[in-house]
This record gives sequence, C-alpha cells and structure tokens, in this order.
Amino acid sequence: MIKTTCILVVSIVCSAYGNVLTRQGLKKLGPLEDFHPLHLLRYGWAAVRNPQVLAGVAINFGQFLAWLIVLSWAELSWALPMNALEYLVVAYLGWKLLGERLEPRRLAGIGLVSAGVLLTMLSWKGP
Amino acid sequence: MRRALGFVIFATICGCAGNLCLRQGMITVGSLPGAAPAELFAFFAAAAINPWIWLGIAFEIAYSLLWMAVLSWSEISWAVPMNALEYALAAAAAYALLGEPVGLLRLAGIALICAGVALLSGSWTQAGTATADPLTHPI
Repeated sequence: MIKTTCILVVSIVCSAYGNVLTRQGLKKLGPLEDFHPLHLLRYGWAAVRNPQVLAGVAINFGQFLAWLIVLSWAELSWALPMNALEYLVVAYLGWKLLGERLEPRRLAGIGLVSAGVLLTMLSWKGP
Repeated sequence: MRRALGFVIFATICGCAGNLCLRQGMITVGSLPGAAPAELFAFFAAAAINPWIWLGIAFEIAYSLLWMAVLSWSEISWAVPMNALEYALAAAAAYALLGEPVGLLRLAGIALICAGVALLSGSWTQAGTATADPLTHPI
C-alpha cells in the first residue's frame, strides 16, 4: 500500500509538471485557430520542435509508465480515486508558492478530499 | 452548456473505459515483481504487446481530445469536478466488470472525495475573481 502510494505520487507529480511544461510551450506557439489540414500539420511540426512541448510529452509518457506499474499492483477502484491527491498537492502549492488565500470553503474542500483519500487508502486489499 | 455536458459525459465514459482496459491488461501482464532493470524491461515489453493496453490507450486518446474540446468551451471550475465523476463511475464498473470488492470504506472515501472536489472547484472561481480585482492586485 505504501509502495503503491509512492509510485502514484510520482505519477501525479509528473502529470502536473508535464501539463505545465506543455502548456507553457503551446502558449508560445499561440492558440490553434485554423483547422485546415496543412495548417494543422505546420502547427504540429512547430509543436514537436518546441523543447518545452517535447519535455512535457516525455514527462507525461513517464507518468503513463508509472500509472501502469500502479495498475499492476492495485485495484482500479482503489487507484483511480487516489488520484485526488493531486488536488491536495495543487492546493498546497497554490498556497505556498502563489500565496493563495485559504478561505473557509477551500479549507472545507481540502478537508473532505483528505478524509476521502485517507479512507480510500485504508480500503487497500492485497499484499 | 448542453453540448459541453454531453462531451463531458462522453469523455468520462471514455476515460473510465480506458482505465478498465489498462487494469485488465495489467492483470494479464501481472504485478511488477521488483525494480531491477531486467524486470522493468520484461514488464513494459509484456505491456507493450498486450492488446488490452492498446485498447486502453485508444480510449485515453479519445478522452484527451474530448476533454480538450470541453476545456475550450467551459471554465475549469465547472469542468474539473466532472473529473471526480469518473471515480464513482469507475468504482461501479470495476465492481461489475472486474469483480473488484468495493467495500463500504472505499465507497465512503470516494463519496467524500467527490464532495470535496465540488467544494474546491467552487473556490477556484472566487479566487479567480479576487486576483482579477485591480484594487487588491494591481498588475
């Protein structure tokens, strides 16, 4: 259970970091507005030559491999809700790095998600 | 709104189906025994030739495309709690199709998570308007 949770946390952190990198890279390319096939090809080519997009995709691939390891050990109905840990990580980072205020409603949400993750974690069945 | 809701439900079903296929694939591949390079290589090689894994990847790609369409129409505070729907749907599907023993403890955990995510997502909109306020946050 502890081992699986550790790999799951790696997967969650990779997913969050990969998404940030991909988004930063795509922001430089600008929004996709023209859906002509030739334009799509050019946009895709520009995307794969952008180092941030490439790094983001690579990290997301690593996240997928970690998720496969988790699924080889854990039941799906245990592993999928455990991904809610991401909301707690994001809330913590927002508070710590971006100075977001923790108003009562958000604190209540964090409390409910934490309690739910804890109960789900304890419902582990297996070695 | 109705179009976005339809896409969200369709995306959630695809994501759920994808994860069911991935879990079925990993059941046939078997548990990763250890972290030695040879064991890792054999594990991922077995996964890469498993048809369930590829079916799961196809569902996940469909999910990503649908989800991107949803995010282009709707606010993230509305879209993200819909993600938590997948936890509930997957628990029901895993119980019915994979025979997973979903006990009361796990059900209670999933219910609390869904309620918490709904509360959290509402708080993002408030935070968003707060940072956009030029008086409190002059940019």
